Amino acid sequence: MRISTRLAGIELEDWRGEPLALGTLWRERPVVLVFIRHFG
Amino acid sequence: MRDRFSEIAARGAGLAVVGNGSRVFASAFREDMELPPGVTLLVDPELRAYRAAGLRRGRVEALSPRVAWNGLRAFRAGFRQTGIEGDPWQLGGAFVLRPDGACTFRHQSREAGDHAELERVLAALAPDAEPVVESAA
Repeated sequence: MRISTRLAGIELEDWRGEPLALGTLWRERPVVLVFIRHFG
Repeated sequence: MRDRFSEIAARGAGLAVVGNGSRVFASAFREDMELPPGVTLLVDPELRAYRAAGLRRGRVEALSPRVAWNGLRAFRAGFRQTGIEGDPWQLGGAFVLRPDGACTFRHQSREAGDHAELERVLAALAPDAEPVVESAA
């Protein structure tokens, strides 16, 4: 399964608490998706 | 990556950052890093997206012999780690994903300090960038 498919349905909160399905990030344009080790 | 946001945006792409700490720490991170308003900042304390992305987690992975060198390299570049807010054993990564679902860049950190090469990220945003080979699993 492609990584975009695995990630698309996952819903996370943004820093303000607003939910966002990851798939919407690249629905209309490419996205650089960065996972950081930790905050700090 | 933050400093190259304008180059990413100029290529018609977005930048989203996922961290594994709480929203409180994400808010502080956003201020400390002075993230541009167009950057999407998300939290994943349950590591669901990290797991789905196949990112490594564990003490061996986080503390390989190369970590000291990576830390020195980061220090020389002016970066200072102020604390760990999140899972200390979770490693990061970076991907470029297109509207057709293709992944044109994939970096899954092997140890702490193993970051994606920005020039390769930018190259992966080119319209003719080839998708990376993804496993069938």
